[in-house]
Amino acid sequence: MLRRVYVWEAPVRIFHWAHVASIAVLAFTGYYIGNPFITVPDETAQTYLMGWMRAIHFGAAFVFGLGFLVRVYWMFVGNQYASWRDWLPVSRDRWGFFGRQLKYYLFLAKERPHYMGHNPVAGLSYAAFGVMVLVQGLTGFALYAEPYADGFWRAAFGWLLTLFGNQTLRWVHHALMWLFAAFFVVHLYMAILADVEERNAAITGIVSGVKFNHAPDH
Amino acid sequence: MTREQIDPLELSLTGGEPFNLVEALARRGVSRREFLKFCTIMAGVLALPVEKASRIARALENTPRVPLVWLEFQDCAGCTESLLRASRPTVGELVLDVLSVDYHETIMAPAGEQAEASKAATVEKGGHIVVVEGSIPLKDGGLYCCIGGKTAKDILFETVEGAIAVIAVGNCAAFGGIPAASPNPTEAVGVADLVKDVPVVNLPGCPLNVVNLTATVVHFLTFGSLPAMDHLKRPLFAYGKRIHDNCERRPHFDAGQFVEEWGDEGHRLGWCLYKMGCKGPETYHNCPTVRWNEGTSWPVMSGHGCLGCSEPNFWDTMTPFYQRLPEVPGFGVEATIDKVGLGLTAVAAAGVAAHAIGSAVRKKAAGASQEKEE
Ligand code: HEM
Ligand code: SF4
Repeated sequence: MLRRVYVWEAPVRIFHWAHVASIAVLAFTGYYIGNPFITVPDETAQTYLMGWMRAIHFGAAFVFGLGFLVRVYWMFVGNQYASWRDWLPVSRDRWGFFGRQLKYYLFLAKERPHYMGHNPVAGLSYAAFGVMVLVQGLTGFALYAEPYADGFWRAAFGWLLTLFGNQTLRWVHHALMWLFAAFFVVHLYMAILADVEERNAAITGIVSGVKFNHAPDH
Repeated sequence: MTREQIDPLELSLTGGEPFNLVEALARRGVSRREFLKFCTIMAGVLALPVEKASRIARALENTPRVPLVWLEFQDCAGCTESLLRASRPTVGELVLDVLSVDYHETIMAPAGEQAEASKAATVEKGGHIVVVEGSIPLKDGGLYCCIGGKTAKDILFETVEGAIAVIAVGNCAAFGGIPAASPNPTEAVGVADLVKDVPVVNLPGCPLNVVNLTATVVHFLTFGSLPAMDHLKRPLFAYGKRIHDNCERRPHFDAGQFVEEWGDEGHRLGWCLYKMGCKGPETYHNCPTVRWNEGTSWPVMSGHGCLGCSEPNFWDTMTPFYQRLPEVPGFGVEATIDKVGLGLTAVAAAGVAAHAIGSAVRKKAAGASQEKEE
């Protein structure tokens, strides 16, 4: 029996697409900030390329940060698939499935286990993604606080500058951009794979919120 | 960020003797007009309204002489050099000189025991200001820097006894500087790491900009207090703003006009030095506004990026000086973060492609075995 299940509630989907868009914009503008590969030879007074790149980076950064906060909030008020328990394989049950799923991915088992929410391996990758977002957000906002000698931003994030220094923060911030790129490649592939192999509407699910359940009722 | 304002009441000018500064200056050929000009400049450096210049003048005219002891430890005498740099002594130097300097190893006439005796006499009276140049080694009992048979640490503690304030000049005295750079063989530290019961003012820079020392002393003499400071004990008038935010090349940064190579067209046009490793975006100092050598120029103006010399551990944290970011450790010399990152992404893509082929093969095999079963 094929059942349609409403898995991804609106805040989860909005978070997902807000992050897709903002990370794309942040990676492009951030790369330019780190390595300004376009030089504008025109009249200085008429051009503002780096200025715009930074302004857009900061605008997207707020979407990125707020989106993440909403997602974390929703972990505690949303449905079971939004819970942090779907990210971390802490229950014995999920941990068992984690092994089976991993074996399947590594071609050591034939049977693909079925889940409605995240499979436990994917879930753990989102926990890792959460850590990446946290580090990128903290380093980013610390750099954002740098021009301010005091005030809100300095008070909230200045301690990171004192603790690690600008060069380390910038380096980590820049390096993480590439981790996001690598994550994107793997994540996209895994989603397509799940959609094809499980025929569970994994891809359209993150747009409509609905996934298919082929599992026999039990 | 904490802004420390030292209470003026704690800093009464007890140790000084009354004397007439204007007369002392006149004897050295400084006219009253030049003196007033100096007071106006000081008001500017201290970011005070111009009217305050007359207050400074009045205060300096009536101030008692505050003795100043200048100590040198693990240093290169570069800050002293900065103090003496001018071809013609400026009013500022003379003010420092006649106002105070009682003991300065490099420039004083007496030597040996005579010199030590004059220092001991000043310290005994108390109410003096101590200026420290150079870092203090702690390893092996501090024996890496001894003067007259005493370690730098002992001399420091002896000299700050009864002092009104300690001014750490240059990055070495403030934060350990170059001697403290990794691996810090002598376990060098700055003054504020050791001195806790006398107020410490840090005036880092490699070297110190003497304008900021003069202004700190003038502030003290005028208001009887140390200037407001940041969390690193640096006066805000000198270290409250980023180089990058006051830099004359900033419009080129915002426009996207960068020097790519020394001597290229952008360099000749005065474009931004960001891609050449300029550390102006992470450095707090007033170089762009007060400049160096009597306002002649400053590094970025002369076409060289900022090295971040007024920040803690700049030798370790601001390097490589001529590159935007450090290289990736463990990946060889030319491994920029972008090369390694692109490699990582390529490996991920290759892994995904291999997995896709594997999955296709598995599906086919499963399909075949299913057919067989049917
Ligand atoms: C996935 C998210 C993000 C990516 C991929 C990203 C990427 C980057 C990159 C590559 C740089 C250049 C670093 C360098 O080489 O110096 C950069 C700079 C910067 N980013 Fe991000 N970033 C992200 C999120 C954020 C967030 C959330 C903030 C928070 C405000 C932020 C604030 C900054 C700031 C302030 C700079 C330095 C700008 C400057 O110095 O002018 N970034 N970013
Ligand atoms: S030269 Fe340095 S301080 Fe000046 S705008 Fe460029 S990066 Fe900033």
